[in-house]
Amino acid sequence: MYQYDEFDQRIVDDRVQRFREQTRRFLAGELSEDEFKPLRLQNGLYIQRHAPMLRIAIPYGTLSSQQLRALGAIAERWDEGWGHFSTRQNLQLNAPRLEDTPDILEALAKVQMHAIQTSGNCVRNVTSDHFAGVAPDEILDPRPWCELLRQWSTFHPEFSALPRKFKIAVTASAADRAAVQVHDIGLRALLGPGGEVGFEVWVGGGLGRTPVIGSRIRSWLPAMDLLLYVEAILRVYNADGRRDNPYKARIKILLREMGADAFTRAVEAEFAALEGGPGRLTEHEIARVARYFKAPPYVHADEHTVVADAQILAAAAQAHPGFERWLSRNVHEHRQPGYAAVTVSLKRAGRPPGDATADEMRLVADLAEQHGFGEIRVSHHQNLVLPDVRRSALPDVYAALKASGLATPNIGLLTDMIACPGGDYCALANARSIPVAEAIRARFEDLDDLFDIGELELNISGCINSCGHHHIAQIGILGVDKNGEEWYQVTLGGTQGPSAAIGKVIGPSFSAEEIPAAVETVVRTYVGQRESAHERFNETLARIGQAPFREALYAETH
Amino acid sequence: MPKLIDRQGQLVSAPTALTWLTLEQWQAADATAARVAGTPIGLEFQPADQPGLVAQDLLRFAALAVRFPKFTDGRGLTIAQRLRHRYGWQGPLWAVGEILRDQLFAYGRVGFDHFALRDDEDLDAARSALHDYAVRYQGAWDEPRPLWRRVERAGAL
Repeated sequence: MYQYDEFDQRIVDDRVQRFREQTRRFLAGELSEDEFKPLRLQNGLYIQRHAPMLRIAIPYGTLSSQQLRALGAIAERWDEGWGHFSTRQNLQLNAPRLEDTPDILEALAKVQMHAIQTSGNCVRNVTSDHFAGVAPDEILDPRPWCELLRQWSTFHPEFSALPRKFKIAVTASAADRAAVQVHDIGLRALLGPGGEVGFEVWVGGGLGRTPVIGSRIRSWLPAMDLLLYVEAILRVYNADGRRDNPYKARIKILLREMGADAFTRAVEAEFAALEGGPGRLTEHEIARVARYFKAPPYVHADEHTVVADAQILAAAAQAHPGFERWLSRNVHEHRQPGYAAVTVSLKRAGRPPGDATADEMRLVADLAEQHGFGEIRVSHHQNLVLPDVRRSALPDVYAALKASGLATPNIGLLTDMIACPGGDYCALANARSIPVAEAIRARFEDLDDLFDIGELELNISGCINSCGHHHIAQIGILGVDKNGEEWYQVTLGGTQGPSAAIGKVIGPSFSAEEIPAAVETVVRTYVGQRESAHERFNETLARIGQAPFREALYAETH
Repeated sequence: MPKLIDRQGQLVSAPTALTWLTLEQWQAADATAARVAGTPIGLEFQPADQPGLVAQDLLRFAALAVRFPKFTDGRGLTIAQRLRHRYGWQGPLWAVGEILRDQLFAYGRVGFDHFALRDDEDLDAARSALHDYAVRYQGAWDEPRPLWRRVERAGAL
């Protein structure tokens, strides 16, 4: 993975000093609330419902064991001993003290981490496929491109006060596990006929108040031009994006109001003014960054190893009831024979989705060293991933995770739901997400039932900002406020990935008491109506339409 | 008068003979009148202005300025970039309005070389803020080459 050189280190060290001084000025009354706000936000610090919230950047979701241990230690020393892994592959601490944040940032800088641009009206943490580098279906490792974008966007002077936040995602797989079509800029790597690298460029996707699938404005961008083209897009946005209304300030609104053709022409004109300039990438620089991501020293698996591995797994399945289910849900194909990627489920009984304690962080860090190369991934589904586990070690990894409650075999199933922190923590939320997630989870606790239902995505957002990605879940739940009470709106038919789609509202919203039963009704209707266990939720919905779901829901509850 | 500093942080006095016009005034007014009066003209852009409208006229101005009514509105940064890069403005470029030390580093990078500090801003602090960061990853007006074109970076072993 990427390692800081002296230049990267100097930047984060300087930033800590600047922020220490800015915080001091604020606390001394020399800096007004309004003047401090954008400064603290671009250091990841929100003022929340009960306390500040600090969002720590985990660039494209890749962490070292040392870094994950440091996060645990920081959570223990300056917070309540746990953190929340977010849908943007970051870590949020929910109760740091404002006056401690410079020290937290200093502790982060010691392990090559920071909170730069994790909030505020700037280019945010670039996100990517959590299986980047190990996925069998990817055409290249997207992480070097993410790192090039990270450095380019860090303290970009021209784009330090954008109309609104700006999110970039990169994928190199046709399966698109990074949801690039719902980002301000989505990049999908492609290979040309001669093996040259290029990108398909999507702009103006997003969730939030106005969910929209992005527009593809370039079907082929030579990779060397990546930074210049992104710069051109941001220039058009910074100049012409709306600033009169924060709800209309994202690039998707600009694109819609200009029209995709006019927007594309404006971007191409800006790009033409930059083409061939010094910002164009070089083979040398691309190769330099790519070297950080070269494959680790995998043990070669021959035919005998493959057979032996299979025997070990079969024996483990005999010995541990549960192992096979975990294997089927939480263990993923790897590009290297003899290896697998393992998802550590952060979706378990009584715990908010994505939360992990310091002890759990240390356990996962240790496992990544014992059974891997000391690297961990954060998925936008709010789980952790051990990317390089020898298949023969899977029983050991299972046992260690199971002993700590981190082996729930539910990845891709209904209870692997995404949920934002919601009204329990977030100042923006209209409604709580965590109790709703827990109440739904409890209804589908039975593993036989959960496996019978099969793959199903359910996401929950506590407000229209849609941090819980409810729009692109097959079943989406959105918290809304009605006269001071929490209500929940249900959308059906959202889709992630290459054929992304926004879910449609099924009907009037449900109270907090009603919503778990309503979800169960939707799920039972699907299971009852599907033609086979292989027909996925959205296929059933497309075949039978919303009406049977609506009838089942509103006949029962109203 | 706001304190005016240059890129080196030196206090400079505003030229008294300079007549500032907004883009709107320039387009509306009888420009000849100002020329007849014999005073050099400075042109001030507002955040929503399109500098391309006067790209052909830039040589008629002694100085340009971009106003930041609020420091949180970053449109002036792109105006500066376009003036410098796309329209080739080599002369003085002032940042005026709510000009605070915490944004000076970025302003200096995109093309401003004069900073009219808000009245209450501390002069020494503002001077040092022009050098807030030793390392700049990306190219801009102050240094068009990205870091990786300027230095030999180590790279992975």
